[in-house]
Formats: sequence, structure tokens, C-alpha cells
Amino acid sequence: MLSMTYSQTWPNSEEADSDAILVERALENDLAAFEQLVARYQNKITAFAARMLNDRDEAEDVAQEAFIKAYRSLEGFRGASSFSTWLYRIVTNLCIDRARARKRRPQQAYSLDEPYDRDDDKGGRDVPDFSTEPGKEVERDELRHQVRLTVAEMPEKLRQVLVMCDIQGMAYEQIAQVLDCPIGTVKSRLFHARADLARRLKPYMRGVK
Amino acid sequence: MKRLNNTEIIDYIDGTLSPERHAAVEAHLRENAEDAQIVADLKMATAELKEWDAAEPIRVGEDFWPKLRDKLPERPQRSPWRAWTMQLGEMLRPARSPMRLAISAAAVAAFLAIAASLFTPEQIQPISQANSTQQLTTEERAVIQRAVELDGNYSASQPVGAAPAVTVNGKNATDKRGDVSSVETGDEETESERIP
Repeated sequence: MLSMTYSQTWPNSEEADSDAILVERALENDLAAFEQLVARYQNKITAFAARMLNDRDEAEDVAQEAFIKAYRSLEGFRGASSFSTWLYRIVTNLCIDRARARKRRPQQAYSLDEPYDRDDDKGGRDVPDFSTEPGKEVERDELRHQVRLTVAEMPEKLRQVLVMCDIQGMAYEQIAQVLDCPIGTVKSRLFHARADLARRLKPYMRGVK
Repeated sequence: MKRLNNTEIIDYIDGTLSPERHAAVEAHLRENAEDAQIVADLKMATAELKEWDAAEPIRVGEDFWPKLRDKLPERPQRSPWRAWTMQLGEMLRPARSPMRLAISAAAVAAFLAIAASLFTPEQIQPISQANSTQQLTTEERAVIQRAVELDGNYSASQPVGAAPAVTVNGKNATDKRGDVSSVETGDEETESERIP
């Protein structure tokens, strides 16, 4: 049985303690300490923004903005949550702001209460006929494209949880803290996000399997 | 057997169910093809997502820190109050050496001596007496009232405390996190609000 556990979630308690020490040093004008914090989180934060915005260049801008905001507000960081939780909350809000400002192009309407239809192969899209496509790599690329597309078009609330949990490997407790919602809500959104992704990918899986 | 709920399916896939419950769910999946298909679909979705992320990794450029450093303000600000409380906390930390213990004791004694010299018994008035003899101006009252309002608004705007959830038999026992009644039903909005 394939069992997916998330024992490798982060930050662990040692990292969190170390973060707190670096924050204190940064507050004492130790720029090298802040540089260490940036080095620790720059890829995770940028990757999160990139998956949320579906734009790598904009993601790096958002990550820079998040670190600047964090640096400016370091005094206000009260230690009620971990530094990483606080940082993720900043970048999540920045992504929400960017998405609104961008005035996203019209998207396919999603409904969370739409029953999960296990036999639904009707994605409302033209599905390529892989039986005539040569080369598995082409099919694999198409599948990745569909994953990217589905994640990009997913409702923001589902995408946040899917990216934090399944891509970034964050624990449910931390996701709940970042999004300020109950753990049950995190799991429920994760179910809907995965189910949505599965429904959209199934037509393309035939060519890969 | 009734169908599995969404959260239980997630817990089953994560492998976080109790051994007994895990076995019961596996037995259920052998009997119920629909739920078994859902589990298989969700696992497939996660696997494809991870495959995509691994195939298209996101890494910042070499110039990320130099660019960021140039944009950082002069220095993070620390209020005098926070600096003072940090110093006091450092002083009151358990002493590791006799010398440090002596320094800490001397610092506390000096603090108490200064405080005693500033507030002689004659200067200390009962609060009721002080209130009756020291009349505030209208402006002072307005400032205090505004501060109280701002403090109330700030407290109300803070998120619920991030205490770790206590679980009993795999269910949350201390707060609403994990409470099945809090699970989304699909009626909520899908658009995100900024997080407070």
C-alpha cells in the first residue's frame, strides 16, 4: 500500500529555535543574520509564490517584497508563531494582492459542492488522442502542462493548501496557522483540490500509463 | 458500511489513522469500489503534482540576495521598551557562574534602590486619592480613550492563538481545529480574503 506521510515537515523545532535567534540578531543590526534567514527560505517562498501566481518572474518580485516587509516589520514579529509561519502569511497576502491587482482573466467556474464524479471524463476540454502520439515524453510533457494549468486555474483557497501541503510539505498545523483556519478546513480543501486535479488529469493519464 | 468522509480519506492516505481504524478502512475499501477509486485518484493526483514540481523546480537567481540587500531599509527598528525588556530578561536569566550571579544581584539591588529613592512613602498615594486630586484635561482624556479603543481593536483583530492541538483518539479535544463540524461543505466562498 502506498502510504504518504509527512514526517519530513518543516521547520522542525531546531530550525524554529534557530530562526528565533537569527531574528534577534537581525534586530541587533546583524545583516548577516537576516541574510541567513533569507537563504533559508528564499527558494521555498519563491516557489510558493510561483505556484500561486503561475509566473516565475513575478514570484521572485513577490518574494523580494515579502522579505523587505518582514525586515521592516521584524520589530512587530511577536514570536506568537514561528518566523516561517509569519513569513508565509506575508507572502500569501502578497499573492492575494497580486492576483486581485492582475484582474485575472476569466476562469472556469468551480464549485466546491459539486459532487466528486468518479466517472467524469468530461473536462469540457479537447483531450488529445494519445493513441496516435508517438513518444511517451511528449505525453508526459502534456500531462505536466495539464497539472500546471489545473493548479493555476484552481480556486485560490484550494491552491494555497495544495501547494503548501503536497508541494512544500508543510504540516497541517502550520498551514492552519498561516491561513488562520481550522485543521479540518485544511484537510477538506486538500481533498477537494486533489479530487479536482485527479478529475482533470484522468483523461490525459491514458496516454502515459 | 457507510461511505468514508473526505477527512478520513485524507487521514488514511497520510497514514495517520490509528492501526485499528486503518485496518477497518482497508477492509472497507476492499468492499467499496467507489471509495477505493477515490483513494486511488487522490494518490495519483498527488504523485503527478510532485512529479511536475520535481520536473520544473523553482530556484532563485544568484543575485537574489544582492538585489534584496540593496532594497532593504537602513535597519530594522526596535523600540526602546523592547530593548529594555530584552536586557532585563537577559539579566534575569539563570546565572551560569558566581560572577554572573553577583552582577545580576547587584543590578537588581541597584534597581530596587533607585526605585525606593524615587517613591518615598509620602509620595505614594492611594489610587482613589490620586484620581480625585489629579484632574485630567479634556485632551488627555481623549488621548487615553483613543489608546484604549486602538488596543481593543488590535486585540480583536488578532488571530486565535496558535496553541498545538491536543488530540484524543485521533480527534481534536481542545479547539475547533479538526472538528468535523468545521469542515467545509462547499458553501463557503472560494475567493481568498487577506489573512489578518
